[in-house]
Amino acid sequence: MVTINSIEICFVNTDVYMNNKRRSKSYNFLDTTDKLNINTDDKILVQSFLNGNQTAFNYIVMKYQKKIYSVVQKILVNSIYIDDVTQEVFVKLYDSLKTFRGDSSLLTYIYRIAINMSLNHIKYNRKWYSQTSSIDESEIDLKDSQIIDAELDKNTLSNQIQKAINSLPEQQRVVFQLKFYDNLSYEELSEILNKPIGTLKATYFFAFKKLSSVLKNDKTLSKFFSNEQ
Amino acid sequence: MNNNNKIEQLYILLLDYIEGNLDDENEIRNIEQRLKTDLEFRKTYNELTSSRKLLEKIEFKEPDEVYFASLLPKIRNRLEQKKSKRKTISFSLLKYWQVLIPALTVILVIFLLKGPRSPENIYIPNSETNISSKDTLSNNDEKTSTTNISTEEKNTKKVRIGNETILEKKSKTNIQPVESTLEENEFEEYDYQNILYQEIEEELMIEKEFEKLSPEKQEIILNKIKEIQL
Repeated sequence: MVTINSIEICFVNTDVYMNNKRRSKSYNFLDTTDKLNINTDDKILVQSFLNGNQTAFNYIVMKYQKKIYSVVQKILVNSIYIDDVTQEVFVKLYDSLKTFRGDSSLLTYIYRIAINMSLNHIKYNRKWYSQTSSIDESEIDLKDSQIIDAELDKNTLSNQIQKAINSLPEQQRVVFQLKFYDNLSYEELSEILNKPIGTLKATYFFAFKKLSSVLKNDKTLSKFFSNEQ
Repeated sequence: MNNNNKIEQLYILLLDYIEGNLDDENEIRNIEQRLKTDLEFRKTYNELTSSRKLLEKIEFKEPDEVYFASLLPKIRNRLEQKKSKRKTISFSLLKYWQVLIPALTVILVIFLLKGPRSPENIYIPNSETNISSKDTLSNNDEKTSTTNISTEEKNTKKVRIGNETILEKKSKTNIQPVESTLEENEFEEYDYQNILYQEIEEELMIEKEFEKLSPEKQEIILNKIKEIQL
């Protein structure tokens, strides 16, 4: 309840901060302005925002912020820029919603922005990513540390998995992360990445195969593989 | 579909089989049969299952609710910063235009005033050059007579078309209409000056002859001229 309250207070503060000037102006508000909430249909939220209702955009952010953070986090594995890129995704969304035609769902549209911006971020900061092999405070955590062999400490496993994921080519990494960790279906991925399902299945398989090979060849993890077999 | 493609297809479907997402019974049967007969296929299956179990044991940390509570104000702050940046850029552009617009207007006015002239087709005599040419004359009387001509010259311009010489009144702005029928090199400065000299000489001769006459005769001539003018 505490966290929910903090979100609500923050939301109200931002709303007041942003809309003091707006209230004095004569915007064309929808009749549903007061009825908007986080569960309101995306189309209504978008339409309301396009009619000048800034609150609608706040609800869109509230609705998708966790998903977008998750996508950015998966692509920029263990980067200090995850927060920065997540914010930029919504800034970009704010500007581009005017051109949103509604051909695809809003979630797909935001996912596309998030993926493109994350990949662009890696592209323009390739030097930083190539120099940063491991970070002390890992973004990856173990679900249950007791399951893993006693020799394998938590940080080692997290680092090795991070390295293995980072070794994947961009497209394979995106497909693997969204499919495996974000549980997106092939149909959803096809819509977001604009690629046929067959291609995505093949990409997912080759990504998994490469990951298996990297993890198997790792000295600390090879034991785990041989035990399994 | 050849045999290689079939095997490749089975490899790709292997992950769906492991994850339990394969619905087609025919495909399931094919994979299970392959697992029994093909060692390489079985090895890949084991590798994928092992790595999957390993990868399943980890999860990506999600920030706490406080982070997400602060995300919206951060985004709003960025939007505000972006807006103010845009305003500054447009304001600086506006400042720049405040200087540029008058400058462009001045350039345009100068161009309109001087631009449309075509000195190649029509020669407009310069009074200064006439005066300088008149300076070669030593006689004072001659000088006085030439000044009359030069003042007259200021108000008229001479254009020679073929063998004819035409006198035209100058416009105030000195902008002359270009006649398309006129050909280049038809009006030459050299010829025009010669004509001027001839006219001046003729007038000087008349003046000298007039001076040679007796005062009575001069009076008669002057009276006749006055009568004609009246």
